[in-house]
Amino acid sequence: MTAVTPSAARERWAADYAKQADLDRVVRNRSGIVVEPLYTPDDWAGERYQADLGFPGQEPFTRGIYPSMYRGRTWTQRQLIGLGTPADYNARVRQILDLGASAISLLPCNSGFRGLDCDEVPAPLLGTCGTVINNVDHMDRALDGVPLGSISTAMNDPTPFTLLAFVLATAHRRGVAFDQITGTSNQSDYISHFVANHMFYRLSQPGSRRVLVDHVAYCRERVPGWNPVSVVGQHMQQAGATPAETMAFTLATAIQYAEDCMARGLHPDAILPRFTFFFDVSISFFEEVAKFRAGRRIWARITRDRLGAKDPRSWRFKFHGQTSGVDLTAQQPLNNVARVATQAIAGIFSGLQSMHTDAYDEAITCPTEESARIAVATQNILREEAHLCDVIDPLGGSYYVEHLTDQMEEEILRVMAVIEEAGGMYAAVGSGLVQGMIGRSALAAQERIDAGVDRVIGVNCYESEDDNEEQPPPYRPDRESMEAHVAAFRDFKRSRSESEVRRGIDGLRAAAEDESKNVFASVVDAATAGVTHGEIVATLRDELGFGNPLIVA
Amino acid sequence: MGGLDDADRSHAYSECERVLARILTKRKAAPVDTPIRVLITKIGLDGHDRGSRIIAAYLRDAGHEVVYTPPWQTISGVVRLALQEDVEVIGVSSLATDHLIVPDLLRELAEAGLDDVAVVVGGIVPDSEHAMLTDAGVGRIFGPGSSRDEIVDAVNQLGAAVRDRRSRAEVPA
Repeated sequence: MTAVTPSAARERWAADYAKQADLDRVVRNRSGIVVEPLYTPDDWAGERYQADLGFPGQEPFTRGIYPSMYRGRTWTQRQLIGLGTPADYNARVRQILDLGASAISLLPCNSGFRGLDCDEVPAPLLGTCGTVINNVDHMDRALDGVPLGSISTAMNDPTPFTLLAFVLATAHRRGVAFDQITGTSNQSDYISHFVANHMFYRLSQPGSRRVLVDHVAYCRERVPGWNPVSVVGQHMQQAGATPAETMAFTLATAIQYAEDCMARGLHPDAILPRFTFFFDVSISFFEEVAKFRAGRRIWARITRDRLGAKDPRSWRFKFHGQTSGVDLTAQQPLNNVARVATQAIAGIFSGLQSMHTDAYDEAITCPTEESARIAVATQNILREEAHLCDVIDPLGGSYYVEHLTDQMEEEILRVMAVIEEAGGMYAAVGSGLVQGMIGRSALAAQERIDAGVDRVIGVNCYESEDDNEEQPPPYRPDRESMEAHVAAFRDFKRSRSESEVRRGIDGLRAAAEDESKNVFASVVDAATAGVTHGEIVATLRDELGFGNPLIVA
Repeated sequence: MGGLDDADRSHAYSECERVLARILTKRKAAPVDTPIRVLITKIGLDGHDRGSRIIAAYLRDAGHEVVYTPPWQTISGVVRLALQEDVEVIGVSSLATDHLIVPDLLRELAEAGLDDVAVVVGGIVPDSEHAMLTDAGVGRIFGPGSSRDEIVDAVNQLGAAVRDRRSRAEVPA
């Protein structure tokens, strides 16, 4: 065998490749980056290993935020649940905990997201997509038998964080100390609501900004095990932002929140260790892995160099991943089991800290018991059968993945510079700049599917003639028990102490009017005094301004 | 319904007008012979509006006159807007079960003398709930995966039929 030089071998490969493949076909990922058919040491040679990758648990955290990653502890299995009455929710939560979930989450009814109580919305819409929780009694019932001091709870709880207030009021009732409570305010990211997931948006932009900082300050003091900030890139990506844009918008938002807190005198190391992130994991496999590796690296630099954090815990980019519902199809719904598994593997190889896997019927309805069970089993199989957790950052060192991580980083930084130029994220969403970018990307993505450039099995290819398989009937709450729930809520409002309620509402107004007071502390007081969710939101809307998202079509 | 009707409405309206202006000025296709006046909206409680924004852009680009509203419109607000804007087709986008109150919308449209307006629904409507909508008078239901052409063609046909009926109604026999 004669020695062949690498460049000669490469030329021979290129010639052979040209005979077999269509050279005119340009492949781009969702972020618009051109993907080549082969990567070699010419693309990533590893000289910058220490600076760009380092070791797990060390700067810049490209390979993972903890030294042992899944060898030490696997991700938290956290399924998003919300349906029906508090009693319905409680039954489902206990079932999920029995199946091996290690933490729970709570999705309230859409009426709650609008800031309304169950007695002021059209009855057919109650409890179809989330649980109707409007006061402390409802929360106590929903979490019946759930040990508040040991199970971490994530609340889908936009400003002004009434669900956490009801959890704390429940803890108070049960004699559980606030410092034993752990979990996350999953929907604290009002900017993402203003821009992308409009259903969570409630208070005016300045009002939301103030309440978020108050919430961070309160939790820091009283509920130190709680993560008050979850920056939600998921909304950006679901609304149509590319993976690179998503990461850029999310990091820009996190900078905004950190600087808002620091402007109120909070030290970066007092708040950043409790910042968490929440992302979509799409089926664009390698692009997702590169997105998260690049995001970790950028955040480590921002927190240290720009925000001035000294504590390594402040530099860690902790994130929850949810497999992306946008990729799921209503056609041939069982195919979604394969899609979710693929997305979940991308999430695992990305080094996520907690995960929700979608049920296969996500594109049709709220999960049924069977589909929810398969979603949990998917995680169990990947974690325990597939040997995915044996090696930390197993794609690290791949010429392709490292090169793509660099390219994604470059693209993320480019978009972040656009936001910075516009005055930061708060200003950039106020002017509609970000909304316009997302809208253009959403339309472009749909046009690629319509044109068949991006293929979706069962939608624009491999359509099945007999695609009308019997859909499972959708989940709909039991009418009678929902009516009874609303009736009991009306009784509760009639029988509670009027003076207590007045005191709670006066407290909310006083806090809103006085910058030196903490609005979230007054929300907790009001919740404890029997003021309802709708009343708390209405009072603060009155004081701090009603929130309408800025939608750019 | 106090919260939805009173607190949200005035805001939703001013927002709607701003968005409407943007949609119409951004139209890029040459106007078709008879542009149809279409209202694209979301009623109820959900705020997922990616679908409604894309459909509004599709119809705008096909040369139609699109009136677009943000989510969370009340039924009475949509009826008023339909009257005010003289629309021929209303497209309701629903992701999270808001289709369940579409029959109420049709009833209120009829009460306002707008029973000739064509109503279509797009988004997530489980098979078992299609009949509830078509029985109430919904003209078409577009599920996920519906193509641009399919939607634009249906709006062309439904809109033309509405216009035809209206013009015949205006001419005394």
